Amino acid sequence: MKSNILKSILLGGAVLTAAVSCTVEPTYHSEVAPDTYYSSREAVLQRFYRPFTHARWTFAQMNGYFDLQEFTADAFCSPVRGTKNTDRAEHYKLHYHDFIIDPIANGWSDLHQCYITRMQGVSRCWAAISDLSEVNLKKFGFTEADWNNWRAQLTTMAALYYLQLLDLFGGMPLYSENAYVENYRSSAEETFYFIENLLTESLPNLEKKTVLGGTERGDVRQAMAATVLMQLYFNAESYIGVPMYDKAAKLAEDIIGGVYGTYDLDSDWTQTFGFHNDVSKEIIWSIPSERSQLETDGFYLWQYSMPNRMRFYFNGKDSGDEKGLPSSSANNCWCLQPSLDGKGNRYTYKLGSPFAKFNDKDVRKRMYRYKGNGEYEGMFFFGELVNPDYPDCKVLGREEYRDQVLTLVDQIARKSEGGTESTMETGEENSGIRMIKYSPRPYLDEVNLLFNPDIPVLRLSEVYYTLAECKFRSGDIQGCADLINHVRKRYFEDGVDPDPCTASMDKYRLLDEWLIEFLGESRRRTDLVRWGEYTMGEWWDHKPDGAGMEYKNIFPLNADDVDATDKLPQNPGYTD
Amino acid sequence: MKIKKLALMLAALLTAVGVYARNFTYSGTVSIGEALKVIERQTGYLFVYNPEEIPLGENVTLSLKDATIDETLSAVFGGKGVNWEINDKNIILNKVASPQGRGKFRMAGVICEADGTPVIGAAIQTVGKSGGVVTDADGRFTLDGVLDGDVLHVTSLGFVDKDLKAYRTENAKIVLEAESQMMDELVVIGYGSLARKDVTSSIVSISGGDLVKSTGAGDLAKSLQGKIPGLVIGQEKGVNSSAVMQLRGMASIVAGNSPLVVIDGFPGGDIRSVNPDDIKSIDVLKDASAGAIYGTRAAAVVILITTKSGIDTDGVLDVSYSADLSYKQAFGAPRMLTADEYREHKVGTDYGSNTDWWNECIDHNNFSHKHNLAINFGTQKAKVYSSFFYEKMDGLALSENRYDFGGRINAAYNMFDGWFEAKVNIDYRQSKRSFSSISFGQALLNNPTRSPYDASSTTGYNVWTDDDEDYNIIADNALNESGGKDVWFKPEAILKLNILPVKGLSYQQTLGYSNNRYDGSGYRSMFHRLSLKEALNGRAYFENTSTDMLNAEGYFSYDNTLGGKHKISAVLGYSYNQYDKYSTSMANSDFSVDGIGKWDIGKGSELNEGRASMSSHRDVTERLLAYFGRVNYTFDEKYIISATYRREGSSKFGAKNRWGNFWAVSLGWNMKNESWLQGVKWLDELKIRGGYGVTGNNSFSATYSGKFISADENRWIMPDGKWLYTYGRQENVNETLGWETKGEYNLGLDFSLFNGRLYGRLDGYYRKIKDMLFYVRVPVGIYINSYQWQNVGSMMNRGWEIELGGDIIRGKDFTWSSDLNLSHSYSKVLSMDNQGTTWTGGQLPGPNSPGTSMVLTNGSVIGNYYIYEFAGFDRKGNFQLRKQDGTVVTNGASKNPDDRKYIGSFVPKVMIGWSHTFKYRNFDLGINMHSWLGFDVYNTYDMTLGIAGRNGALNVLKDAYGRNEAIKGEKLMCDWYLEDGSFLKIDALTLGYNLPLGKYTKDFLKRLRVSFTVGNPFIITGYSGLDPEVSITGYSGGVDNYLDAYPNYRTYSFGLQLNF
Repeated sequence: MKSNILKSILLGGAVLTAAVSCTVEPTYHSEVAPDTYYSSREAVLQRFYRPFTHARWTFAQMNGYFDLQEFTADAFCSPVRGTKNTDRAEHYKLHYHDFIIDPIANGWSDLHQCYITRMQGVSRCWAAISDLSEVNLKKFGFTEADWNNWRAQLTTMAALYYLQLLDLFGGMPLYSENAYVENYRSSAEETFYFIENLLTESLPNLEKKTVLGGTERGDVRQAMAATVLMQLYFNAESYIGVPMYDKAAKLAEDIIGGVYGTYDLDSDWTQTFGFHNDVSKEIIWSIPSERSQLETDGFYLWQYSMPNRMRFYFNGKDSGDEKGLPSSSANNCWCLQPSLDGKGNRYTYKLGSPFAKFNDKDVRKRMYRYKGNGEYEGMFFFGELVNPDYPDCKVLGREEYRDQVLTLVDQIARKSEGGTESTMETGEENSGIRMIKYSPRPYLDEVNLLFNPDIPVLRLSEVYYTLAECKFRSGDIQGCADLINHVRKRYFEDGVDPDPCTASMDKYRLLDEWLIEFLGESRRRTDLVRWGEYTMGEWWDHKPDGAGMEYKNIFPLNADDVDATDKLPQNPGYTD
Repeated sequence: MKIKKLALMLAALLTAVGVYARNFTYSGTVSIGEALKVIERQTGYLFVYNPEEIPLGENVTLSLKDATIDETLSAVFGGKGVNWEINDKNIILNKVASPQGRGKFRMAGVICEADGTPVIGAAIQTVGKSGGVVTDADGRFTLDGVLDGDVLHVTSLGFVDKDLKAYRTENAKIVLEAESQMMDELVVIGYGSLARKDVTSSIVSISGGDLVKSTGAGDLAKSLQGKIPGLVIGQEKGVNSSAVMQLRGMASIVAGNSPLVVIDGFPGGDIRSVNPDDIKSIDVLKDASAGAIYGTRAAAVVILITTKSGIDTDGVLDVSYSADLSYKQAFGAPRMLTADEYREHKVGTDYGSNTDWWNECIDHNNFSHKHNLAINFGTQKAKVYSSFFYEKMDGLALSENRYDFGGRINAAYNMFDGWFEAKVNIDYRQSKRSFSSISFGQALLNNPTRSPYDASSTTGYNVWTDDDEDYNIIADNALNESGGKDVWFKPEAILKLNILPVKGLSYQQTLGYSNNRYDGSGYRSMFHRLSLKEALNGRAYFENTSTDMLNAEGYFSYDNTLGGKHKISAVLGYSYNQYDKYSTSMANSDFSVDGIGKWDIGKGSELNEGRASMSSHRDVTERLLAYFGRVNYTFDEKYIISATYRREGSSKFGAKNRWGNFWAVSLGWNMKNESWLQGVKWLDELKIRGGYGVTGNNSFSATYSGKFISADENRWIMPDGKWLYTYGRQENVNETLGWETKGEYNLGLDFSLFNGRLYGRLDGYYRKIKDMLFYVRVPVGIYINSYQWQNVGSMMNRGWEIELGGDIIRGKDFTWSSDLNLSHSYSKVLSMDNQGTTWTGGQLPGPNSPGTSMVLTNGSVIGNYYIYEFAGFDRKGNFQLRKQDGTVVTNGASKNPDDRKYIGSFVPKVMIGWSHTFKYRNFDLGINMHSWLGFDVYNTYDMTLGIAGRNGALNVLKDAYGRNEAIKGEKLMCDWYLEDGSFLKIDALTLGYNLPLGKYTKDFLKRLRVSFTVGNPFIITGYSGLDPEVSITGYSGGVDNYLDAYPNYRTYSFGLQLNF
């Protein structure tokens, strides 16, 4: 009996001791600790490319940047459409430069999204450098040159994030590698020179593209750093009040001249945006996209802008109402701003009217047609939505024009009710032309090509246009016109441009050229700001902010981001 | 032998100093001779006997606490062939006539209450045998033909059941304790139990028999409805949903709010795994002074579930079977336009049919039934409770059902002369679920002139793909199969060593394991709308998750009364808990043969295209280790002090802050036991109690505790052209992240009046939660993410709870007892953090996203809506709103989200639970009700479906062309749609009839009970939407969201219970 007790007590004691020796350390399984992660060459590369998948969200997928750059300007809008799209929230208000800086969090607002994704991007770049600096790269066969190249790639990417933040919001808190301490917001000047420094330091360590039309995989090369630096100088006057067009022009000339690698204009614009654009000669940097791998849909432009039943247009030879192209639901909100008023007359404002600004002979101003094998034509949907090759593939309305073939018009008015007023309030389901530029879609029988187009972020045409504007500003109008015409000629059959730029072109013609070449490429606001038209210009349903409202040239920071730290004061003019 | 003597001496010593007490307390194994001496010392009686006739040398094992002398003697001499007579101071022992001691004899006597009032109609039955008797008008009974050693089971409604051994006597006095008499009721607390009179914190106990049954609910939670003051139980919509519970307001904003469920001492249980028929009692530790013993996880509330254990049936089988059959009847559908009205108002295209979509979605042939078999078997040394059940439940929606099987074995063994006890509990349950893809909200929107069926199509359904807002939900449901199986398995061993030499000292070691596995799968036909739309011939998926929990606990407990006045109950121990979760899933699409369904998943062509999906994941292993202690001390039955302490470490927290301290102190004063109140005859009990306790919360993701690298959701193209996932940092690790703690004051009063006829409890509390686990905005740039878990912010809850119970009528044939509870709570965010972080909630349903109706920020009162103030309609029927500055605007660009105001509240001013039990002879009638008073509900039916011409061709309420005809403008989120939601619901109305059958069926069927229950017969409310009982847990409730619509229904149940 006694031994039983003793045994029991011993047992109890032993169990207690065992318990004491238990730790409360977590054990990881699907997540790995850094010291066990780096086991192969591939693992190192996979760590290196993590900031790139973030860049894909930021520069090619999320719609916030598109919203801020386009809805505030004269090409795109998101009108109320009868009983649809009625929330009159941020997308609506951007049109009136009425920025919501609600102190109460309002979901994932564009201001917040743009700020966060870019600051996160900076952080991701520095984190990757920091993590990789602790890895013995030689062990995996990487060289010092590889390491320097990686650092330069990530530094350039960080510079691009900062540049877009500077453009949107002004000065930023500046973080370098190994930033562990919260920083105060720097001035726009400090931010400007910080970016300049990042780019000039990293540029020499980047690789130069040597094969014209060689495959682009999203790696950062010298020409990208040079182009970003060019963008910085080009808008220096907007950012810090110091014109630096000369510097921008020098860089542009060098890029065109092949100093930073070998590039050329694509002879057909669909080579730049189409299904095989990984071998575009023009693209300086793009985000790769591939079916079943990294399906990038270009700012969700399809989803937000196409009419609800658009996917039936893409049935092609597999016609039949019940199918429709997969992954192609859409909710019919965004469209081009109208060129015609409610009565059908052209607007006379200098700015805006994007669809009418395209010459009728411009090959882009055609109804989108997919020709097979990744070939296609047309950048728009307009008029009767009946597929010209497959008349059974048509798009029916479901609201004002329910079960009738939908006919998209270059107007925003309650035409179904005989209305002629044209405002953000008077849309209906067929109002506005729709653009299909990024991520064009194949017909159903070639669905395997869906999402194959890469998303171009930087392309050589911009360098030409930048140089053209610099020449314009320096008084060399003919030089400007020549450069633009050089790009333009590819849009006309046999290269015959019916309306080329001439030495008599004015700044509005130049702005129009920017508008049509870069329609929907999320830069319109920046261009208008550079010309002072952002707050003073008038277009369609948008009245000028007026003199003294220049503070609107940069956005307010979203209240949530300001609140996240007391080191991030609100921009002037917006303090509430 | 020496040890036993020592034990006896100790016991004697301890009791000798005590006051003269007639009741007897003793645990252990002793010889009868020695037992007699102890009894003499404790009770003051003197035994008179002939040593030759009495087996003085035989050993008996006693486990008695405050036992009456009769109980004591029957425990000592049960089966020993000894008879006794008690006179004033002496007990005369005699050897019974039969030489074997097993002869049949007669036992007669009286059954009464503690004060001597006879209990009329009490049933006395020999366990395992037929032939029970019932007491007469004087409480007297005569039981013939009992054998020595038979166990008698005495039951009477309103009294605690009692088991005792039969003995030969003509004037037995069996005292029953009134059920309502709370004082001596045993309350399960953390790591032990206490008499109610010694409890100093706020604990509600419910016995298994008091659970509301037969209401068609999917799990146990609903059975607690209205039973626990302050406990909000979310509506369960459908048989596969599980209820959300919240006690005393929100316990946390971002971290978990769900209760800690402790099943038979195993913390972290799943309330869905328990078969309500197996439950013996549920004890809810409401305040922190009670919950602190569970430290970490006790912040919300601790629910202790005790399952039934075997009783000593003296080797005879005790079998009971019950069946429950029920039918659900839907009522109160929103009144939409009928097809004819839809045509008349030209809302949309007329397809020529007449369809009531809501009605089409309802399974009118639903039928549910449950069968439960429980078998008890016990001897002195081994007691086994085993049960088995089968249940089929049909929901109201088409193809919504559930099949459950389960079984439990609770075995307890007594070994080594009382030194050692072992319990082995094994519980298994599986729920096979079939999910419906019916959305009743969608049914409301659908065009009523369109038919769900098309006889000419392949499937017989009318499938159309060109409209995402109006689609055939009947076809969607029929062409999509999805379901799963939940399996719970919980083996557990509890080993207890009674260290007999020290009275009341024992060591208990528990080792438990529990596993919950879920296997889900489904198949969407190639003819399904979405398959057609995505041009994929069918889609199949499988998924499973498995959750393992390991629990090891050991503790010493000591229960004793020293010197008669010093009652001590103490525990000291440790607890270790490990949690693992695994999951895998796969999905593939595009099959050529539809009929095979999901059962050849590899054949879908998406696999070849690299578009099929496959995943596996194992969560971070979580560990918890704690050391704890508790002391309850009662002096002279008057003054009680209780203190607990738990030091606990959790792997979830930052390496620097893993350990936390949780403690509680509470005091009680049993005023009735003061001499100056002894004279107040009508007062049975009066106790004041109060306490303060600190509990913690670690209910948040475990992935924040360390720096690690994980895969992004996307691949990137590598230099060699291969697409590989990229890896990087995932979280903003906070190395100093620590515990969220809740400090809670509780002040209470327990009373019982007029001989237990009226009793009650009052509680008031104030709790403050600080260092809240909070997902805070941090500056990105240095951090990868814009949020990080930090310990910031604080919030408070305060409120009161009242419980009143009484036996309103206590007649000979008729009794009426009633329990009422009321509660009120108020919660407020004191500070979120110094960065002004806000949380939004209460997303109102579209079309045209009207916005969110809640926001939480510094100073927010939980429950307030944050919406626009309605300022009338303009002449065109447009909504007008009054902005913060008083100006009135109509719809358009000029309103901003910050023009909203705090208006109304979804938190009821008072919540009420009320139950009645009527009993007339063999009939009984139970009524359970609950009610919420003084709160607002946001009616989205009226908002979204109530305006003509704003939703295109979608159907609208008839009111759109009636009551709301003048409204023309787009709906706006404003207080026009707030309505008072006060309601009263009857949870169950049960009529039962008990029939003792022993007389007629000889040794076979002892008792039969039949019952008929109507659950939720009607709702009394002025609210005009579907159901005012909206979600009020968390901070974003209060919205009667039409997209979540589920028909109101009443349940008709027939119950049958047989005891063999």
